[in-house]
Amino acid sequence: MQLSNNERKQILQTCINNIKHQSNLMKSNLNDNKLLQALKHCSNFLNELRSNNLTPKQYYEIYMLVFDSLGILSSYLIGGSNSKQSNSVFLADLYEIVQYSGNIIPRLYMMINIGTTYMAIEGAPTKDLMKDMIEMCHGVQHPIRGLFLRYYLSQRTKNLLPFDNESDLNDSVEFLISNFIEMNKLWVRLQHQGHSSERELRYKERKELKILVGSNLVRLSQIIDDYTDANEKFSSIDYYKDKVFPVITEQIIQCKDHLAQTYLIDVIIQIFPIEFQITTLKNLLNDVFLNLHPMLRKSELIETLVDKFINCSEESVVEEEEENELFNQFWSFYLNLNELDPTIPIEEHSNLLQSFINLSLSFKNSENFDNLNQIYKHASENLTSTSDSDEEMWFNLLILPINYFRSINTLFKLDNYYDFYQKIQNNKQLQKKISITIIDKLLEIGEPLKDISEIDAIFRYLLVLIKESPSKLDTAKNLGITKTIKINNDEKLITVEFLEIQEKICKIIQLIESDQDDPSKTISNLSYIRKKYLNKSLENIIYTYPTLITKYLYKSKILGYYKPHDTNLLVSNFKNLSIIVDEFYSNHEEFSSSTILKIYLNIANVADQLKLNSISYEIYNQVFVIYEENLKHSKKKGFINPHDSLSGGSIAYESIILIINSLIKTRHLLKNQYEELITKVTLHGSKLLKKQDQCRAVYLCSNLWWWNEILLPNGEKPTTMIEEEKPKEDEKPKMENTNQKEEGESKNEEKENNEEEQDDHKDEEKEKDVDEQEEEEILLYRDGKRVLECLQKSLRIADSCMDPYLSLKLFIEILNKCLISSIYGNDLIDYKYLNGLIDLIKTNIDNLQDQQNEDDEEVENGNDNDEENEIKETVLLKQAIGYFNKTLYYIKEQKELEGRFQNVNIH
Amino acid sequence: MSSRKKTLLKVIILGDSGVGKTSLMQQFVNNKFSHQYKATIGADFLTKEITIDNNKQVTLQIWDTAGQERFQSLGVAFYRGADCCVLCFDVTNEKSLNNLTSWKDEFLVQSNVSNPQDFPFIVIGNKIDVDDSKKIPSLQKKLNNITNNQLGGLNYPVFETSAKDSINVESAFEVIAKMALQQEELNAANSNDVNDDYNDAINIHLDSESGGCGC
Repeated sequence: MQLSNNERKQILQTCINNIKHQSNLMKSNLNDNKLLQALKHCSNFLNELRSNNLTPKQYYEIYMLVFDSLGILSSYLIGGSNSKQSNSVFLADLYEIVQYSGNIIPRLYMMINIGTTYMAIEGAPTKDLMKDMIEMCHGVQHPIRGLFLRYYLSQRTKNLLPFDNESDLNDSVEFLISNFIEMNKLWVRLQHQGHSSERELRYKERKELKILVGSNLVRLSQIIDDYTDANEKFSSIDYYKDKVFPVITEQIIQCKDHLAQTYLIDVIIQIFPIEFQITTLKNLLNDVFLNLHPMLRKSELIETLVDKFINCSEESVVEEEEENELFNQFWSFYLNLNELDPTIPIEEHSNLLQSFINLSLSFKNSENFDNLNQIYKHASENLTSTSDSDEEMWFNLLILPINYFRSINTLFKLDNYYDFYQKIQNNKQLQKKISITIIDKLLEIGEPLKDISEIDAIFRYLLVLIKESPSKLDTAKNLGITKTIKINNDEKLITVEFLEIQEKICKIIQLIESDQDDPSKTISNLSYIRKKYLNKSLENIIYTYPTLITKYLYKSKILGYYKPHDTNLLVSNFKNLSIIVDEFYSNHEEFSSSTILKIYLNIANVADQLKLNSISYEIYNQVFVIYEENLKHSKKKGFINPHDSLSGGSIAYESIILIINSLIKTRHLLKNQYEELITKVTLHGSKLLKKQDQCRAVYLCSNLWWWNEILLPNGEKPTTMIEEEKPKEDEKPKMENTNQKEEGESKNEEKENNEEEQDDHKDEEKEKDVDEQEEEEILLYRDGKRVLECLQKSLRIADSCMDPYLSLKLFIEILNKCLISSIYGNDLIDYKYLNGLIDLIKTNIDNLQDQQNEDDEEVENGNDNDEENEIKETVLLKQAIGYFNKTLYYIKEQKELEGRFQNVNIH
Repeated sequence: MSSRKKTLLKVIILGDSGVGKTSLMQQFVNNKFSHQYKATIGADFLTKEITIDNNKQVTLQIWDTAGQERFQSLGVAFYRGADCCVLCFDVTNEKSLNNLTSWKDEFLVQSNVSNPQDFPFIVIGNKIDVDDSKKIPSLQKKLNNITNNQLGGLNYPVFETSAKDSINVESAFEVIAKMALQQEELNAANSNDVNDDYNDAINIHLDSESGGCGC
């Protein structure tokens, strides 16, 4: 017979109205000192508690009203008589009188109310009253009514239970435990009342009622506290262990009720202090937990218990040396549980193990990994996954400790962690997530990876990321849901996330750092990770090798400074490095030759700095191979403005410039090697596809034939000329100083030379002194005739351009180059040559101006087809004239300030 | 009314789990403090008699409540009839401060008080004994934001206390008692009126039994 919610609400409202009304009547009777009348009304409102039709929450509402109203009666009775003596007699009588009340519910509530009022009076027969009241309560066997009645008993007796001595304490504890046992029975019995179809409803009701049962345990805990506060010598822990724990847990086990067990164990853990839990832990785990309802999820209870230990870890309840013992107690429970029930679901295993991991991680001794290892060992040996969701649970176990890592050592010592990590190898996504979390943590720690064992300890987790294929397409990528980047001529899509991961791997490579004084160890470790890890996916080395090679090269350079005379070691190092770059090239020549070219040039320059001319010569040859194989004909996408010498050009042109830039820095190649290489690059330059590229490449090559001392590295002497002529004397220290000062400038100079900047005024000033004093002391590679040849060649190319405006622009660029050559002391570029070039430019400008004037007339006459073109050409001419005027102004300045170019005609 | 009868004032302490509600009550009523954390199960009260305004004797019935919802399974019927509500937070736990408004709202909804606009609340920030470094950064500013907000703000007296070191606990409860007494007097005046109407309206129900069994 189910009532609707509305019906229940109406019944509740009626109950409330009745209680309020009767309570008011009772109050006014009490004010008039009509006690018997008042008791009658009291009995009336107590009758409402006999209702069958309320939910537990509704019943609790009327219970609270009744509770308050009974409080009024009680305070009347306390003040009811003048002397204590007579009050005591009066209450004893009253206690008897109310027993004649007709219904048991009102009768017992009144008895408890008066009995507890009586107990508060000094000299009352407290223990008899306790015994009597608890006995009488047996009379109510209806679960909800019985629970509330006993709850009332427990609320009213609070602060009245005696604890003057241990015998009192025993009686009070017995009283509370007995109430607890009876309430638990009522509570469990409720589950089996009514039709079986109402099982769910009963369960819900019971869940609401649970705090009534739990409140007894709270009282128990309180009275033990109170007694302990009053008796210093009393050992509450022993008392709990011997007198309380066994009785209440036996009751919990015996009731065999799922809900009761779950809730009450939770309460025991919450309500009794951690010291009590430690003392009874073994029993709780092995005698209680193992005997609970087989379907009960022990993991939840374990979690509560472990959380309690973790929350108290700051209070040092468990000393460092006891931590292992604590863990072992949990662990042996887990093993026992496994033995007892081999069919525990995977999720339960996962939750239990998570709790144990959390417990170990909370320990003060953070360097002790035995416990964690034990957990992961067990997990990898015994757990088998049958589905993806199982693997996700493994993932939870793996991700937990990472945040606690304090050093690489942690990973190193957690050997079994890796075994367990391997268990999810079928689910690469999960493995990836864990590996990324590990990397992030390691990067946060930033500790160097010193030796192979450390490298292995970490890189085994990186393999899954190293091997990840970026080109594998998925739907999200195809539809553009995942952000992607197109590479390799749009043939390949990679995700931003993938790039970020590769970047992280590179950052880990940067962490490889052995003894600072012995770079060869780091170098051999770098080789090791290449062979063992990085080249496991040749597709991905494009992302990691540049970092690897750069780091390797840097270390080789340092090694060269440490051991400048160990040529064999240095050479073999570069040979190994070249194997790495070769591997890189052979796998990625199609789309990454430019990158590889730059890498080779860097290596060649470092080899030159270390005076390993055979190595650098070989590498330059390799550079030309790459150029011819892959770069010579590659084009660059997008528009290139031919008039702008700074906007770059084809890939081939840019490659030539890179080679020139690199060669210009070398100082230790043999003379014939050097000549061969610069001839080669000049030749390649002159064979570029476009006229403007040819022209610029060739005039830039002119620099290679005329070294300038200010480009020399600090304090170093070039050896290229030594082969033929020995230097006459060592450099003077004074000269070295001069060089030092100008080193900073020299870098700028390189760029300006190459890109034909006009304003190198500053350099020139300083250069004058150097020129005069130093020329004889340092042997510089200089061949003025070749310089002139290059400039002549570039003039011819410029002249052969079909576009007169481009020709003009190139002429002026060459003029600037000539000015610099002249300043650098090349006598072959004399004033006659310069005047000739200036005249040539002027003539060209005049011609173009005339032509434009004619064109303008045509436009005015209405022939405006080429209007747009005309405007463009006007602009180009204007720009050229501006550039030319600036150049002339520069010459003028040089004349005035430096006395240069005296015979050059600038008017 | 009997002149001997003392006034009973019902006070409810609310706040997040672990802010120290039980400790405040224990310190005030029993002058005790324990480091051990025990969750409160359900609701429980302690009483204490105090004298306010020099000669007025009152009994404070202070209800300590479970901050954790799972330990409040029977609902909050004990809110009814409260004369004052104490909203507690932990000065080291910002979340507990931010939750004060929802505790207040929940109280007003469930307690069904007749004057929600001017029902007496007070705010207590507990654990001021804790090291400054652990306290909520710029606490005063945040507290002002919450208490001085014109619309729906908690414009109530604020006390910063330490249940551990017994700082400000006594004075806070003194204010609580005064506020509760005012509320109680207001309610008593109102309920007398109400009851007079109600007496006639309900007489018909007087003798009807409401379906209980006779056990």
